[in-house]
Amino acid sequence: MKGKIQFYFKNKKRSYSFTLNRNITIINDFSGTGKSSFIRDLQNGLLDVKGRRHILKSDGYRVKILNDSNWDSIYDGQHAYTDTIFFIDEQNPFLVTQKFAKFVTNTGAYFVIITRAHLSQLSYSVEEIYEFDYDEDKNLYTLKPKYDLLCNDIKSKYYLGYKSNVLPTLIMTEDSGSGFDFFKCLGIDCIGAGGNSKIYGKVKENLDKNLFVVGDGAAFGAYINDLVRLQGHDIRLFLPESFEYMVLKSGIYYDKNLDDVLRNTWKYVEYKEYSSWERYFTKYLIDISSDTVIPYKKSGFRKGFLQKGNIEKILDSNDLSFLNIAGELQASSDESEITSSKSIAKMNII
Amino acid sequence: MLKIIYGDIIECDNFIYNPESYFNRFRENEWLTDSFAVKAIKDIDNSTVISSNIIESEVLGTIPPQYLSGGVKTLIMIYNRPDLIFNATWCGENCAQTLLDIGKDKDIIINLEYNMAFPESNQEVLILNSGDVIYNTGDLELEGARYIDKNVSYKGGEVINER
Repeated sequence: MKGKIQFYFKNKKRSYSFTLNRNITIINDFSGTGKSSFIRDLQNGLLDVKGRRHILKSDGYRVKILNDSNWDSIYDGQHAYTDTIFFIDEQNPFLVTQKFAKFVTNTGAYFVIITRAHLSQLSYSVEEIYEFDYDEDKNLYTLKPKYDLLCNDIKSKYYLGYKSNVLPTLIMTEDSGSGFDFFKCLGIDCIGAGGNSKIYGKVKENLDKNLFVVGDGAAFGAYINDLVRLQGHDIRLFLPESFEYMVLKSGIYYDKNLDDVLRNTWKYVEYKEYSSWERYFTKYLIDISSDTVIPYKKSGFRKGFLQKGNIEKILDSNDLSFLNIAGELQASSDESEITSSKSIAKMNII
Repeated sequence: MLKIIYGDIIECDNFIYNPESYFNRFRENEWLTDSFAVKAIKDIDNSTVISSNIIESEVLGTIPPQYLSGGVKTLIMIYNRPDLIFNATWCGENCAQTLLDIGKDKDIIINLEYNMAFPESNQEVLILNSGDVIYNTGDLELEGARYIDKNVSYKGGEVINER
């Protein structure tokens, strides 16, 4: 499945309306806000086969409630559920298992999960974690984001801290791949946390620093809750979709669909192939750079990419120009690959 | 005293993973009309207890106790059955103060699979994963984050953190 799905459900007493933007939508809210009532209402609605007392719209996709009693049978017959929106109430034990993660990937289906648990075995976006919003006059439930962007400028995806030009004393990346290689060039102390699950611990070890933490927002959903609790410390949490997304935005590589891919990613990601938008951006960047002089690889930049001009392009297009300390860029000086005979038509290398 | 086991419990005596289901099956009528439950139902579910089997909800109308939120059911079970260990992940953060209040008068052990934010206070809370007593509940989140992703066993008064 791919694309956005408009979901609407109405019974005699209330209605629910929201958009599923990606394959995993998390509803994480206080007690007593109507989450279990929603599942109960939906369950009753699904039993109303002739639709006499309920209206259910889901852009043509099948709707199913997944729980402990039907989990095993649905898992065994998973091939039949690739066009399904699953609704799952909290505290079903299978939710935290690798088996469930495999089910999510294998089916490519959509999931609306009511949970407070750390689903660290799943890749889901910070932007797709919601709370219920209830309009008493209309008896209508909609969803509102649980974690607000600190800045309305969509280029600056800060979830903690402030948008400021103050230089950090330490940059922390999620891992030691290409993102780490990039930020290391800026002349500011830089460490890799060793994975999303280790970021919180590493941040705690460095609370005495002015921290700039960079993570892949498209897959950071399980980890955001702990980090936003660190308000009051000198930490900025910057969560673009992924580092590959930052590179794509820079314009260094070209593809005729690039602009649409970045603006309307939801049109392109088939969830049976990609567990998250992060995976999609990586594949897309690898593909469009494959016949250029410097094809992209996730594990670390190829020689010649980290030129001053490229670094500045990535910083500027992601509103991070303040990290460009004059004279401090530790850019690569090796231009040998750029002047090779390979086609540079798809690159705008400076 | 409030005692917390963070993480995914894989082995533990007297552990109730699904307190909502347990409430639906084993609650006693007088628990609903007790002043604790009346207050919790009002504070958390914004509802009024009419009798042990009738609740008046501002949003849902007249409902049976089964339609109370998972959080309030869990609180009622924790309050009335302190001999059991309940999975309090069913409780949203709006239940945190009530958990602290129960812990002032009763020795209770709860399990949390998420890092619940507690209001700041000087109340002592024991984290069974480490054996540490926290004297400022505002620090609980920092400690909770260390153990949330662990598989834990609780036997003989001791937590074994795995993974």
